[in-house]
Amino acid sequence: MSGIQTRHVTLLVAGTATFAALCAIATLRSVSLFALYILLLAATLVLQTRNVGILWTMAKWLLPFVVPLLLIHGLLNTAHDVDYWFMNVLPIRPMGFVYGALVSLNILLLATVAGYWLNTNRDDMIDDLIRLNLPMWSILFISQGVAVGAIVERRVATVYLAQRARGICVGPGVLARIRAFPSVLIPAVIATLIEAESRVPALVSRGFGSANVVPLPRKARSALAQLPWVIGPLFWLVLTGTLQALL
Amino acid sequence: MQLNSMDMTRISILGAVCIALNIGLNKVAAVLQLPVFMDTIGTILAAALIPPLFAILVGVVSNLLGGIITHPAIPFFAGTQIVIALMAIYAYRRGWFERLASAVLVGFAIGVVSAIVSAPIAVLMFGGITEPGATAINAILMAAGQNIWTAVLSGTIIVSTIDKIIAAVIVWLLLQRLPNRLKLARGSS
Repeated sequence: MSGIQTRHVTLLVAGTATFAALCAIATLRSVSLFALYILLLAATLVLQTRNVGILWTMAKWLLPFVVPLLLIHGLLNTAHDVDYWFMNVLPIRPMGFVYGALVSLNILLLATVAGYWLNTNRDDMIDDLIRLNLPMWSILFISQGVAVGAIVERRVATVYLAQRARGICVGPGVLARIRAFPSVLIPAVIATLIEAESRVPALVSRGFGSANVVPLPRKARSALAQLPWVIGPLFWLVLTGTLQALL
Repeated sequence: MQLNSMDMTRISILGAVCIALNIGLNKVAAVLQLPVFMDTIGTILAAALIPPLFAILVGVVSNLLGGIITHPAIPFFAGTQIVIALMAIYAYRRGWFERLASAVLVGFAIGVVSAIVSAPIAVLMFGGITEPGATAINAILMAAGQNIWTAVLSGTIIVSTIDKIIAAVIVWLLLQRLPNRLKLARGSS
Protein backbone atom coordinates (compact mmCIF):
# COMPACT_ATOMS: atom_id res chain seq x y z
CA MET A 1 0.00 0.00 0.00
CA SER A 2 1.12 3.57 -0.50
CA GLY A 3 0.89 4.45 3.16
CA ILE A 4 -2.59 5.91 2.77
CA GLN A 5 -4.89 4.50 5.44
CA THR A 6 -8.34 3.29 4.53
CA ARG A 7 -11.06 5.42 6.11
CA HIS A 8 -14.26 3.95 7.40
CA VAL A 9 -17.78 4.80 6.32
CA THR A 10 -20.21 5.70 9.10
CA LEU A 11 -23.62 4.09 9.55
CA LEU A 12 -25.28 7.36 8.48
CA VAL A 13 -23.29 7.56 5.23
CA ALA A 14 -23.96 3.89 4.37
CA GLY A 15 -27.65 4.30 5.23
CA THR A 16 -27.96 7.45 3.09
CA ALA A 17 -26.20 5.74 0.15
CA THR A 18 -28.61 2.78 0.42
CA PHE A 19 -31.65 5.06 0.52
CA ALA A 20 -30.39 7.11 -2.45
CA ALA A 21 -29.60 3.96 -4.45
CA LEU A 22 -33.11 2.55 -3.90
CA CYS A 23 -34.56 5.91 -5.00
CA ALA A 24 -32.32 5.80 -8.10
CA ILE A 25 -33.61 2.33 -9.04
CA ALA A 26 -37.18 3.58 -8.63
CA THR A 27 -36.85 6.93 -10.42
CA LEU A 28 -34.01 6.98 -12.97
CA ARG A 29 -35.38 5.66 -16.28
CA SER A 30 -32.56 6.88 -18.53
CA VAL A 31 -29.94 4.13 -18.84
CA SER A 32 -27.03 6.50 -19.42
CA LEU A 33 -27.97 8.68 -16.43
CA PHE A 34 -28.45 5.58 -14.27
CA ALA A 35 -24.96 4.43 -15.28
CA LEU A 36 -23.62 7.93 -14.55
CA TYR A 37 -25.22 7.84 -11.10
CA ILE A 38 -23.56 4.50 -10.30
CA LEU A 39 -20.21 5.85 -11.49
CA LEU A 40 -20.53 8.94 -9.27
CA LEU A 41 -21.62 6.85 -6.26
CA ALA A 42 -18.67 4.48 -6.71
CA ALA A 43 -16.25 7.38 -7.15
CA THR A 44 -17.56 8.98 -3.94
CA LEU A 45 -17.00 5.70 -2.09
CA VAL A 46 -13.41 5.40 -3.36
CA LEU A 47 -12.71 9.04 -2.52
CA GLN A 48 -14.11 8.73 0.96
CA THR A 49 -12.48 5.44 1.91
CA ARG A 50 -9.26 6.07 -0.08
CA ASN A 51 -9.53 2.40 -0.90
CA VAL A 52 -9.31 1.49 -4.59
CA GLY A 53 -9.30 -2.20 -3.58
CA ILE A 54 -13.04 -2.00 -2.96
CA LEU A 55 -13.50 -1.85 -6.74
CA TRP A 56 -11.92 -5.30 -7.00
CA THR A 57 -14.30 -6.64 -4.33
CA MET A 58 -17.22 -5.15 -6.26
CA ALA A 59 -15.95 -6.77 -9.46
CA LYS A 60 -15.78 -10.15 -7.66
CA TRP A 61 -19.42 -9.74 -6.64
CA LEU A 62 -20.43 -8.56 -10.09
CA LEU A 63 -18.73 -11.02 -12.44
CA PRO A 64 -20.56 -14.22 -11.34
CA PHE A 65 -23.78 -12.43 -12.30
CA VAL A 66 -22.75 -10.41 -15.34
CA VAL A 67 -20.97 -13.17 -17.29
CA PRO A 68 -23.91 -15.66 -17.09
CA LEU A 69 -26.38 -12.80 -17.72
CA LEU A 70 -24.71 -11.79 -20.98
CA LEU A 71 -24.08 -15.36 -22.12
CA ILE A 72 -27.56 -16.68 -21.31
CA HIS A 73 -29.56 -13.77 -22.70
CA GLY A 74 -27.16 -12.77 -25.49
CA LEU A 75 -26.67 -16.29 -26.84
CA LEU A 76 -29.13 -18.81 -25.42
CA ASN A 77 -32.44 -17.14 -24.51
CA THR A 78 -34.76 -17.86 -27.42
CA ALA A 79 -37.07 -15.03 -26.33
CA HIS A 80 -34.64 -12.66 -28.10
CA ASP A 81 -34.31 -12.80 -31.90
CA VAL A 82 -31.06 -13.99 -33.54
CA ASP A 83 -29.54 -11.22 -35.70
CA TYR A 84 -26.65 -13.28 -37.06
CA TRP A 85 -24.62 -16.43 -36.42
CA PHE A 86 -21.00 -16.18 -35.29
CA MET A 87 -18.93 -18.63 -37.38
CA ASN A 88 -22.22 -20.41 -38.15
CA VAL A 89 -22.18 -21.83 -34.62
CA LEU A 90 -23.14 -19.20 -32.06
CA PRO A 91 -26.46 -17.34 -32.34
CA ILE A 92 -25.96 -13.66 -31.51
CA ARG A 93 -28.98 -11.96 -29.93
CA PRO A 94 -28.21 -8.22 -29.57
CA MET A 95 -31.40 -7.44 -27.63
CA GLY A 96 -30.45 -10.20 -25.19
CA PHE A 97 -27.08 -8.54 -24.64
CA VAL A 98 -28.84 -5.21 -24.04
CA TYR A 99 -31.18 -6.84 -21.50
CA GLY A 100 -28.21 -8.51 -19.77
CA ALA A 101 -26.34 -5.20 -19.64
CA LEU A 102 -29.34 -3.40 -18.12
CA VAL A 103 -29.77 -6.00 -15.38
CA SER A 104 -26.00 -5.85 -14.79
CA LEU A 105 -26.31 -2.13 -14.06
CA ASN A 106 -28.78 -2.90 -11.24
CA ILE A 107 -26.36 -5.42 -9.80
CA LEU A 108 -23.48 -2.95 -10.12
CA LEU A 109 -25.48 -0.44 -8.08
CA LEU A 110 -26.15 -3.08 -5.41
CA ALA A 111 -22.46 -3.96 -5.35
CA THR A 112 -21.59 -0.28 -4.88
CA VAL A 113 -24.01 0.05 -1.96
CA ALA A 114 -22.63 -3.16 -0.46
CA GLY A 115 -19.18 -1.57 -0.81
CA TYR A 116 -20.35 1.24 1.47
CA TRP A 117 -21.55 -1.26 4.09
CA LEU A 118 -18.40 -3.36 3.76
CA ASN A 119 -16.31 -0.31 4.59
CA THR A 120 -18.33 0.48 7.70
CA ASN A 121 -16.31 -0.12 10.85
CA ARG A 122 -18.15 -2.90 12.70
CA ASP A 123 -17.38 -1.50 16.17
CA ASP A 124 -18.55 1.96 15.18
CA MET A 125 -21.67 0.45 13.62
CA ILE A 126 -22.55 -1.37 16.86
CA ASP A 127 -21.92 1.86 18.78
CA ASP A 128 -24.23 3.74 16.41
CA LEU A 129 -26.92 1.08 16.86
CA ILE A 130 -26.62 1.45 20.65
CA ARG A 131 -26.97 5.23 20.25
CA LEU A 132 -30.17 4.62 18.25
CA ASN A 133 -31.55 2.92 21.40
CA LEU A 134 -32.25 -0.34 19.62
CA PRO A 135 -33.06 -3.23 21.99
CA MET A 136 -29.91 -4.93 23.23
CA TRP A 137 -30.95 -8.35 21.93
CA SER A 138 -31.15 -7.00 18.37
CA ILE A 139 -27.65 -5.57 18.63
CA LEU A 140 -26.40 -8.87 20.04
CA PHE A 141 -28.08 -10.67 17.12
CA ILE A 142 -26.07 -8.60 14.65
CA SER A 143 -22.73 -8.43 16.45
CA GLN A 144 -22.64 -12.08 17.55
CA GLY A 145 -24.07 -13.27 14.21
CA VAL A 146 -21.04 -11.84 12.42
CA ALA A 147 -18.56 -12.95 15.09
CA VAL A 148 -19.85 -16.52 15.45
CA GLY A 149 -20.11 -16.91 11.64
CA ALA A 150 -16.34 -16.90 11.38
CA ILE A 151 -16.11 -19.38 14.29
CA VAL A 152 -18.56 -21.75 12.57
CA GLU A 153 -16.54 -21.64 9.36
CA ARG A 154 -13.28 -22.40 11.21
CA ARG A 155 -14.89 -25.18 13.25
CA VAL A 156 -16.40 -26.83 10.16
CA ALA A 157 -13.00 -26.69 8.46
CA THR A 158 -11.38 -28.35 11.52
CA VAL A 159 -14.02 -31.09 11.73
CA TYR A 160 -13.71 -31.62 7.95
CA LEU A 161 -9.98 -32.29 8.32
CA ALA A 162 -10.56 -34.49 11.39
CA GLN A 163 -13.18 -36.61 9.57
CA ARG A 164 -10.86 -37.00 6.60
CA ALA A 165 -8.12 -38.16 8.97
CA ARG A 166 -10.58 -40.73 10.40
CA GLY A 167 -11.09 -42.09 6.88
CA ILE A 168 -14.58 -40.71 6.24
CA CYS A 169 -15.00 -40.30 2.50
CA VAL A 170 -15.44 -36.60 1.75
CA GLY A 171 -14.93 -36.80 -2.02
CA PRO A 172 -14.22 -36.73 -4.86
CA GLY A 173 -17.60 -36.24 -6.45
CA VAL A 174 -20.62 -34.16 -5.49
CA LEU A 175 -22.55 -37.15 -4.05
CA ALA A 176 -19.67 -38.11 -1.75
CA ARG A 177 -19.38 -34.51 -0.55
CA ILE A 178 -23.14 -34.27 0.09
CA ARG A 179 -23.07 -37.61 1.98
CA ALA A 180 -20.12 -36.37 4.06
CA PHE A 181 -21.74 -33.00 4.79
CA PRO A 182 -23.78 -34.15 7.87
CA SER A 183 -20.78 -35.94 9.41
CA VAL A 184 -18.83 -32.70 9.17
CA LEU A 185 -21.66 -30.39 10.06
CA ILE A 186 -23.46 -32.06 12.99
CA PRO A 187 -20.49 -32.16 15.43
CA ALA A 188 -19.50 -28.60 14.53
CA VAL A 189 -23.01 -27.17 14.97
CA ILE A 190 -23.76 -29.01 18.21
CA ALA A 191 -20.45 -27.93 19.72
CA THR A 192 -21.13 -24.32 18.70
CA LEU A 193 -24.66 -24.32 20.18
CA ILE A 194 -23.63 -25.92 23.47
CA GLU A 195 -20.67 -23.56 23.81
CA ALA A 196 -22.91 -20.57 23.04
CA GLU A 197 -25.46 -21.62 25.65
CA SER A 198 -22.73 -21.96 28.25
CA ARG A 199 -21.92 -18.27 27.74
CA VAL A 200 -25.41 -17.18 28.83
CA PRO A 201 -24.95 -17.44 32.65
CA ALA A 202 -21.55 -15.78 32.30
CA LEU A 203 -23.08 -12.82 30.45
CA VAL A 204 -26.04 -12.50 32.86
CA SER A 205 -23.76 -12.68 35.91
CA ARG A 206 -21.86 -9.72 34.45
CA GLY A 207 -25.09 -7.71 34.34
CA PHE A 208 -25.91 -8.21 30.68
CA GLY A 209 -29.56 -7.45 29.92
CA SER A 210 -30.31 -5.89 33.31
CA ALA A 211 -29.05 -2.37 32.57
CA ASN A 212 -28.77 -0.01 29.64
CA VAL A 213 -25.61 -0.39 27.61
CA VAL A 214 -23.55 2.73 27.17
CA PRO A 215 -21.67 3.10 23.90
CA LEU A 216 -17.91 3.22 24.09
CA PRO A 217 -16.44 6.70 24.09
CA ARG A 218 -14.84 7.24 20.73
CA LYS A 219 -12.59 9.74 19.08
CA ALA A 220 -14.41 12.94 18.39
CA ARG A 221 -15.53 12.91 14.80
CA SER A 222 -16.34 16.18 13.17
CA ALA A 223 -19.93 16.11 11.96
CA LEU A 224 -18.95 18.68 9.35
CA ALA A 225 -16.28 16.35 7.94
CA GLN A 226 -18.95 13.67 7.41
CA LEU A 227 -21.39 16.04 5.76
CA PRO A 228 -20.09 15.83 2.14
CA TRP A 229 -20.17 12.02 2.26
CA VAL A 230 -23.73 12.04 3.59
CA ILE A 231 -24.88 14.64 1.05
CA GLY A 232 -22.88 13.13 -1.86
CA PRO A 233 -25.18 10.19 -2.76
CA LEU A 234 -28.27 12.42 -2.42
CA PHE A 235 -26.71 15.22 -4.45
CA TRP A 236 -25.80 12.85 -7.32
CA LEU A 237 -29.36 11.55 -7.28
CA VAL A 238 -30.82 15.05 -7.51
CA LEU A 239 -28.31 15.96 -10.25
CA THR A 240 -29.04 12.92 -12.44
CA GLY A 241 -32.78 13.23 -11.75
CA THR A 242 -32.71 16.88 -12.84
CA LEU A 243 -30.75 15.99 -16.00
CA GLN A 244 -33.34 13.32 -16.75
CA ALA A 245 -36.14 15.84 -16.42
CA LEU A 246 -34.36 18.41 -18.60
CA LEU A 247 -33.14 16.15 -21.43
CA MET B 1 -44.84 -14.48 27.78
CA GLN B 2 -42.68 -12.33 30.08
CA LEU B 3 -38.99 -12.88 29.41
CA ASN B 4 -36.37 -12.22 32.08
CA SER B 5 -32.81 -11.15 31.33
CA MET B 6 -31.59 -14.78 31.41
CA ASP B 7 -34.21 -15.77 28.79
CA MET B 8 -33.47 -12.76 26.60
CA THR B 9 -29.73 -13.39 26.74
CA ARG B 10 -30.25 -17.06 25.90
CA ILE B 11 -32.53 -16.17 22.96
CA SER B 12 -30.06 -13.54 21.73
CA ILE B 13 -27.10 -15.91 21.87
CA LEU B 14 -28.88 -18.88 20.27
CA GLY B 15 -30.41 -16.57 17.64
CA ALA B 16 -26.98 -15.18 16.85
CA VAL B 17 -25.62 -18.73 16.43
CA CYS B 18 -28.48 -19.52 14.04
CA ILE B 19 -27.64 -16.39 12.03
CA ALA B 20 -24.01 -17.48 12.00
CA LEU B 21 -25.07 -20.93 10.76
CA ASN B 22 -27.01 -19.38 7.87
CA ILE B 23 -24.07 -17.21 6.84
CA GLY B 24 -21.24 -19.63 7.67
CA LEU B 25 -22.75 -22.78 6.15
CA ASN B 26 -23.57 -20.93 2.94
CA LYS B 27 -19.87 -20.19 2.59
CA VAL B 28 -18.92 -23.76 3.63
CA ALA B 29 -21.23 -25.19 0.94
CA ALA B 30 -19.48 -22.94 -1.57
CA VAL B 31 -16.05 -24.12 -0.37
CA LEU B 32 -17.10 -27.78 -0.62
CA GLN B 33 -18.45 -26.99 -4.12
CA LEU B 34 -21.90 -28.31 -3.25
CA PRO B 35 -24.61 -27.30 -5.75
CA VAL B 36 -26.90 -26.06 -2.96
CA PHE B 37 -27.36 -22.85 -0.92
CA MET B 38 -27.35 -24.19 2.69
CA ASP B 39 -28.37 -20.76 3.88
CA THR B 40 -31.55 -21.75 5.74
CA ILE B 41 -30.40 -24.39 8.24
CA GLY B 42 -30.10 -21.68 10.93
CA THR B 43 -33.60 -20.34 10.21
CA ILE B 44 -35.22 -23.79 10.33
CA LEU B 45 -33.25 -24.69 13.48
CA ALA B 46 -34.21 -21.38 15.12
CA ALA B 47 -37.87 -22.44 14.90
CA ALA B 48 -37.03 -25.22 17.36
CA LEU B 49 -34.74 -23.25 19.67
CA ILE B 50 -36.17 -19.75 20.12
CA PRO B 51 -39.63 -18.10 20.12
CA PRO B 52 -41.32 -17.54 16.72
CA LEU B 53 -40.77 -13.80 16.35
CA PHE B 54 -37.05 -14.21 16.99
CA ALA B 55 -36.87 -17.15 14.58
CA ILE B 56 -38.32 -14.92 11.85
CA LEU B 57 -35.80 -12.20 12.76
CA VAL B 58 -32.99 -14.76 12.44
CA GLY B 59 -33.96 -15.23 8.78
CA VAL B 60 -34.25 -11.52 8.04
CA VAL B 61 -31.05 -10.48 9.83
CA SER B 62 -29.13 -13.37 8.21
CA ASN B 63 -30.01 -12.08 4.76
CA LEU B 64 -29.24 -8.46 5.63
CA LEU B 65 -25.83 -9.41 7.01
CA GLY B 66 -25.27 -11.82 4.11
CA GLY B 67 -25.60 -8.79 1.85
CA ILE B 68 -22.43 -7.36 3.35
CA ILE B 69 -20.51 -10.57 4.03
CA THR B 70 -21.43 -12.89 1.17
CA HIS B 71 -23.13 -11.13 -1.75
CA PRO B 72 -25.19 -7.93 -2.17
CA ALA B 73 -28.00 -9.87 -3.90
CA ILE B 74 -28.86 -11.82 -0.73
CA PRO B 75 -30.95 -9.15 1.14
CA PHE B 76 -33.52 -9.20 -1.67
CA PHE B 77 -34.45 -12.74 -0.63
CA ALA B 78 -35.28 -11.76 2.97
CA GLY B 79 -38.97 -12.34 2.22
CA THR B 80 -38.17 -15.96 1.33
CA GLN B 81 -36.51 -16.38 4.73
CA ILE B 82 -39.65 -15.11 6.46
CA VAL B 83 -41.77 -17.69 4.62
CA ILE B 84 -39.27 -20.44 5.46
CA ALA B 85 -39.27 -19.41 9.14
CA LEU B 86 -43.08 -19.41 9.29
CA MET B 87 -43.29 -22.86 7.68
CA ALA B 88 -40.56 -24.25 9.97
CA ILE B 89 -42.27 -22.84 13.08
CA TYR B 90 -45.56 -24.46 12.06
CA ALA B 91 -43.84 -27.77 11.25
CA TYR B 92 -41.96 -27.84 14.57
CA ARG B 93 -45.13 -27.10 16.54
CA ARG B 94 -46.91 -29.93 14.76
CA GLY B 95 -44.05 -32.27 15.66
CA TRP B 96 -43.05 -32.88 12.05
CA PHE B 97 -39.35 -32.73 12.84
CA GLU B 98 -39.61 -35.77 15.12
CA ARG B 99 -39.51 -38.34 12.30
CA LEU B 100 -37.26 -38.46 9.25
CA ALA B 101 -40.08 -39.05 6.76
CA SER B 102 -42.11 -36.04 7.89
CA ALA B 103 -38.95 -33.89 8.06
CA VAL B 104 -38.24 -34.78 4.41
CA LEU B 105 -41.79 -33.78 3.47
CA VAL B 106 -41.41 -30.50 5.36
CA GLY B 107 -38.17 -29.85 3.46
CA PHE B 108 -39.91 -30.59 0.18
CA ALA B 109 -42.80 -28.22 0.99
CA ILE B 110 -40.44 -25.47 2.13
CA GLY B 111 -38.39 -25.94 -1.07
CA VAL B 112 -41.38 -25.60 -3.38
CA VAL B 113 -42.88 -22.61 -1.55
CA SER B 114 -39.54 -20.79 -1.20
CA ALA B 115 -38.87 -21.31 -4.93
CA ILE B 116 -42.25 -19.77 -5.77
CA VAL B 117 -41.48 -16.78 -3.52
CA SER B 118 -37.90 -16.37 -4.83
CA ALA B 119 -38.53 -16.77 -8.56
CA PRO B 120 -40.11 -13.33 -9.17
CA ILE B 121 -37.16 -11.63 -7.42
CA ALA B 122 -34.68 -13.71 -9.43
CA VAL B 123 -36.40 -12.76 -12.70
CA LEU B 124 -37.21 -9.10 -12.10
CA MET B 125 -34.06 -8.09 -10.22
CA PHE B 126 -31.38 -10.48 -11.45
CA GLY B 127 -32.53 -11.58 -14.92
CA GLY B 128 -32.88 -15.20 -13.81
CA ILE B 129 -29.33 -15.58 -12.47
CA THR B 130 -29.14 -17.23 -9.04
CA GLU B 131 -27.01 -20.01 -7.55
CA PRO B 132 -24.81 -21.69 -10.25
CA GLY B 133 -26.72 -25.02 -10.23
CA ALA B 134 -30.11 -23.33 -10.70
CA THR B 135 -28.66 -20.89 -13.25
CA ALA B 136 -27.39 -23.79 -15.38
CA ILE B 137 -30.87 -25.39 -15.39
CA ASN B 138 -32.46 -22.01 -16.18
CA ALA B 139 -30.06 -21.53 -19.12
CA ILE B 140 -30.83 -24.97 -20.55
CA LEU B 141 -34.58 -24.38 -20.29
CA MET B 142 -34.35 -20.91 -21.87
CA ALA B 143 -32.24 -22.33 -24.72
CA ALA B 144 -34.92 -25.00 -25.17
CA GLY B 145 -37.49 -22.28 -25.79
CA GLN B 146 -39.09 -21.82 -22.37
CA ASN B 147 -39.82 -18.26 -21.32
CA ILE B 148 -37.76 -16.78 -18.49
CA TRP B 149 -40.52 -17.18 -15.88
CA THR B 150 -41.09 -20.89 -16.56
CA ALA B 151 -37.35 -21.55 -16.80
CA VAL B 152 -36.46 -19.76 -13.56
CA LEU B 153 -39.37 -21.24 -11.62
CA SER B 154 -38.51 -24.77 -12.82
CA GLY B 155 -34.78 -24.42 -12.15
CA THR B 156 -35.31 -22.85 -8.74
CA ILE B 157 -37.87 -25.49 -7.70
CA ILE B 158 -35.45 -28.31 -8.57
CA VAL B 159 -32.44 -26.84 -6.75
CA SER B 160 -34.41 -25.31 -3.86
CA THR B 161 -36.27 -28.57 -3.17
CA ILE B 162 -33.04 -30.57 -2.96
CA ASP B 163 -31.46 -27.83 -0.82
CA LYS B 164 -34.35 -27.59 1.64
CA ILE B 165 -34.76 -31.38 1.96
CA ILE B 166 -31.06 -31.62 2.88
CA ALA B 167 -31.51 -28.68 5.31
CA ALA B 168 -34.58 -30.29 6.93
CA VAL B 169 -32.79 -33.66 7.31
CA ILE B 170 -29.79 -31.92 8.89
CA VAL B 171 -32.11 -30.07 11.31
CA TRP B 172 -33.82 -33.40 12.12
CA LEU B 173 -30.38 -34.93 12.84
CA LEU B 174 -29.42 -31.95 14.98
CA LEU B 175 -32.65 -32.10 16.98
CA GLN B 176 -32.05 -35.82 17.65
CA ARG B 177 -28.63 -35.04 19.12
CA LEU B 178 -29.17 -31.70 20.87
CA PRO B 179 -29.81 -31.74 24.62
CA ASN B 180 -33.50 -31.19 25.45
CA ARG B 181 -32.72 -28.09 27.52
CA LEU B 182 -31.73 -26.27 24.31
CA LYS B 183 -34.99 -27.02 22.53
CA LEU B 184 -38.12 -24.94 22.79
CA ALA B 185 -41.10 -26.71 24.35
CA ARG B 186 -43.46 -27.35 21.43
CA GLY B 187 -46.42 -25.68 23.11
CA SER B 188 -44.60 -22.48 24.05
CA SER B 189 -45.33 -19.19 22.28
